[in-house]
Amino acid sequence: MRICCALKLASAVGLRNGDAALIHKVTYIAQRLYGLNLGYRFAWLAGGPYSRELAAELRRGCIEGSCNINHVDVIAKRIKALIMRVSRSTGLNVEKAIDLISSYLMLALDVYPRPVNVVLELTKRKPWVTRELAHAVSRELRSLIKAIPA
Amino acid sequence: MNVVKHIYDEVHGYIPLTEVELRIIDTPTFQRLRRIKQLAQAWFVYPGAVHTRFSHSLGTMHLMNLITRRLINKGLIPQDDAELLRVAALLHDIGHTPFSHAIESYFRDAYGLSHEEISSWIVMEDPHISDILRDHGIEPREVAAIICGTHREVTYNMLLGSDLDVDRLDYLLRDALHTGVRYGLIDIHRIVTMVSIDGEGYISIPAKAVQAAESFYISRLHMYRSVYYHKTITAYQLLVKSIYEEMIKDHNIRNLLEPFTSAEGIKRAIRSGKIYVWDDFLVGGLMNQVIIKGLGSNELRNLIRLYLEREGYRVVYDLTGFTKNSISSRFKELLNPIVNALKDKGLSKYDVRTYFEVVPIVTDDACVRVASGSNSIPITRFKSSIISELPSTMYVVRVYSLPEKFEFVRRLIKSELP
Repeated sequence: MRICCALKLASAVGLRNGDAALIHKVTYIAQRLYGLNLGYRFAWLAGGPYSRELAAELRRGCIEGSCNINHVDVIAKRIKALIMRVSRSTGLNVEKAIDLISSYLMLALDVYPRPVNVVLELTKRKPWVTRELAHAVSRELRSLIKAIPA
Repeated sequence: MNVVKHIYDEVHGYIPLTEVELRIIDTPTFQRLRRIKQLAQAWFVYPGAVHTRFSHSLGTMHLMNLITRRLINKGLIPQDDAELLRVAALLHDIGHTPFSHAIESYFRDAYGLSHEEISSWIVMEDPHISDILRDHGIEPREVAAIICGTHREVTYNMLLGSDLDVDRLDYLLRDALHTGVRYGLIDIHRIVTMVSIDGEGYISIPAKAVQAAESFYISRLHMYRSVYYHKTITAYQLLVKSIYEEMIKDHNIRNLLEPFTSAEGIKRAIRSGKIYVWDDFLVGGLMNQVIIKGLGSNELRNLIRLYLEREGYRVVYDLTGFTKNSISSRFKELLNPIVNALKDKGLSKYDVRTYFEVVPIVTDDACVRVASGSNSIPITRFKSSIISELPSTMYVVRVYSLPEKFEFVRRLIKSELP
C-alpha cells in the first residue's frame, strides 16, 4: 500500500514512473521534511538517499490498489514549491535541485558521524556542487529543518 | 594489522583475527550465529546447505579486509578506518532472526523490522558487544551506521550494501559450495584485486575486469533460480512463517517464545544481554514441544508435522519470467484470476499460500560501475558488456497448497486460467 502513496507523491510532484532515482529522493524528502509516514529506510549512497525496500516495491508497482493517506497531495505541492524555489535560486534543473535538497537533508539529519559543516561536506560528496549552490540550498532548508518535530 | 589468531574457513582458507575481532567472536551474542543457518530451508533440497551465519560473517569480514587493504594502499581509504570496516562486516548479520529470512519476513510484515535494524540495536546496546567496541576505541554508533548504510562516507556504505558488496561476494561463493550449485562460482580474486573507488565514492572496476563482474551477475542469477527462489525452498519458508504466525497467536506458546515476539521484546533481550538464546534451536525445539505435548491448535500441529515430515506446501502454479520493463501491470493480470479462483471456496488461511516476488538482476542505482577516467559509468551502460542485454528483473508468481488440498486447488486454478 505504501508504494501506492510513494508513486502518487512522485506523480503529483511531476515525476514519471521511470525516474526511479528521483522517486527515492522525493520520498526521502517527504518522509524527513514533511512527516509523510511511509516507513522506508534510506541509506546514504553515492547517488544520494536510496531505499532498498522502496526499490523492491517499485519493481512490483502498486498492485494493491490505491494510497489511503489523504494529505499526500498537500505534501507533494509543498515539495514541488521547494524544488522550484531551489531551482530558481541556483539555476539548476529540477533533477539536480532534487538531488541537492535530498543530499543536504540526509547529511544534515541522518548520517553519522554528523558533519561539522554540512555545506562543506556536500561539496566534498558531490563534485558538481559549488559552495554557492550548497549555501543556497542551506538557506532554503534551514528553517524547514528547524521546524521538524524532534 | 595485529593478528592474534587464525581461523580456518572452508571458502577462504585461513582468516586472520585481531584482538577486538576475537573478543567479539567469543561473546555469547556472536556465538549465537553458529546456531542460525545461513540458508534456513535450503537443506530440504540441498542436504549439504547447513552452513551458518557464523562462517558467513567471518567470510564477509575477510573479504572486507582484502578490499580495504587494497584501497588503503591506493590512498582511497584512511588506515585508521580499516578496523572499523572489518568489525562492521563481522557484525553485519549479528541481528539475524532464527530461520533467517523465513521469520524475518514475519517481523517485517508485523513490525516493519529488518535484521539490519536488529543488528544496529545489538551493536549499540548489547552489553557484550558495545563494551568491547568501546574498549578498542571503536564507536558502536559508527559501526551501526555502516551496517544500516547511513555512515557519512558513502563508500563504506557501498562496501556493505551495493550489488558488488562483500556480503554478496561471500554468500554467493559459500552458498554455491554448500549446495553444490557449481554455476554460482565467481572469480573472487580478480574482483577483489581490481576493485576501486571513483571520484564520487562509487565502487568501480577497470574495463579489463568487466568479465569478472559479468560472471558475478550471471552466477547470481543462476543462484536465484536454483537456490534462493527455488520452488521447494520458498515453500518451506512460507511454511515456517505460517508456523511462527500460528505459534504467536496461542497464548501459552507465545509465552514460551517471549520476549522474541515483538520489537520491544527483542530490544529488552538485547539490553539484558539475553539475545543469544534466540536461535534456530529455540524455535525448532518449540515446534517439537508443540507436537510432543499437544500444545496449540490442531492446525498448528498439522503445519509443524508437515514441516518435520517434509510434506509441506506443494506448488500448484508456477510462473517465472524475465523482463526489462516494469512488471506491475502484468502482475495484476496474473494475480486477479488466481485470487478470484480461490475466493470463497472454503479454504483456510494456510491451505493455500501465494508467493509473488520481483527480483532485481541488475539495478542501475546500485550496480557495479566501470572506471572511465576519474569517474565511472554503470555497467548497464558500458557498451562492451553483455550486462546491458540482460533482463533487469526476474518475476516469480506461485500458488502453493498443502498436500491434502492440492488436487482441489489445482482444479480451481486450472478452471480460471487460460
